Amino acid sequence: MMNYDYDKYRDKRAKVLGVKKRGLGFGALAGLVSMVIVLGLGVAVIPKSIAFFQARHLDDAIYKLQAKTAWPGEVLDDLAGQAGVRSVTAADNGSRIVVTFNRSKTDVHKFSIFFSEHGLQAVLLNKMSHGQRLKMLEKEAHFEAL
Amino acid sequence: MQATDRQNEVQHLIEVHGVGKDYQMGDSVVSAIKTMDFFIDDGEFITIVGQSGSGKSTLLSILGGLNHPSRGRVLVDSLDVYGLGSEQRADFRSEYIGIIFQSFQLIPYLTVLENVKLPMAITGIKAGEQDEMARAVLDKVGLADKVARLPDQLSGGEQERVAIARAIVNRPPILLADEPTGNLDSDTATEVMRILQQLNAEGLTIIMVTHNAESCKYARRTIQVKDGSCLSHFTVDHR
Repeated sequence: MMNYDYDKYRDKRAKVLGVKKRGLGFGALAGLVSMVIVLGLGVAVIPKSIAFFQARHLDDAIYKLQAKTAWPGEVLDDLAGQAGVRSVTAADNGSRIVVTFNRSKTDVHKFSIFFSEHGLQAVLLNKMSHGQRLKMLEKEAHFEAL
Repeated sequence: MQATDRQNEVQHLIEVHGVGKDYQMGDSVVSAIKTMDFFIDDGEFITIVGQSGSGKSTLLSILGGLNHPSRGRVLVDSLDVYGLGSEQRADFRSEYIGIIFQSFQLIPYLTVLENVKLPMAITGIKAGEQDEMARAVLDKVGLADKVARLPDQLSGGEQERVAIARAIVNRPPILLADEPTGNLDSDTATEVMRILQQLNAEGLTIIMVTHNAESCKYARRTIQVKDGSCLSHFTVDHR
């Protein structure tokens, strides 16, 4: 027979009282799985959401010159400096340009005036939202890769 | 109250304070246990004796955290067993209590080794370690060469030894035995009692319910129960 030793079964007592947990409990495991799902969705969704919000007010206008000549560089620089114009990008070997602009600050009508003032006969080929055009470019790149 | 608060007031491994158990039988209430107060020290070998229906098995199940008393408190290692939540009490049983029964209660379609490993399934012990621990306790009870047998391929004494191995595999400090030799012939019963005596010598606290006066000689102390009350405690001097 032995005297009662409070410390002898300290580990067992700790397990019973939940001070010392064995392995991962169901709650902790469920929390961990939920966190992985939320983080995974976050990684997949958040960048797209940010891109959408950054581009939601932008439109792209695609122009070519009636004369089928190259676009004068100084005119493009001037156009890029106009209020509301985000960027001017040359495409299709320089025969076309894509003007990305904030639709709330400018529009294609003002571009037509701008081109006339510079003595250029520009033809508007298409106008679409910037996001839509980016998706189209992605699809085109995908099909080209195939 | 937390266990740490009781450190100074608890003096024994098991303390039974005013424990009673009533059962509703139709319109009347029957007291299986009236009121009991006693203590059991770490490393004791106790037998509980008494006639059928005296409350022995009810007392054993209360000590093992299996049967909520109608009144009173059971403290084991300063834990208030029935003050614990149900999950904590399940952990308490897993950590502190091993139980062997008169009818062995082995799973017939599991091998000896699988039966012994069963209590470790919920402990989080790794499979390899479970195997090692189960084989070690089977070796201790002399069944190392019968690990692959099914229960019905063993004698009654061997089945009882498997039950003992299963009860101690989690290394509980307390072994509760409900008439473990009740179904055994006297030679086999002696063999089982010697195993229990050896386990007690190694530090295991054993509380055994028995009808067999012969079994009491292995215990240091006997609690006699009659009509739901502790009639007497007497200590056996083995010197």
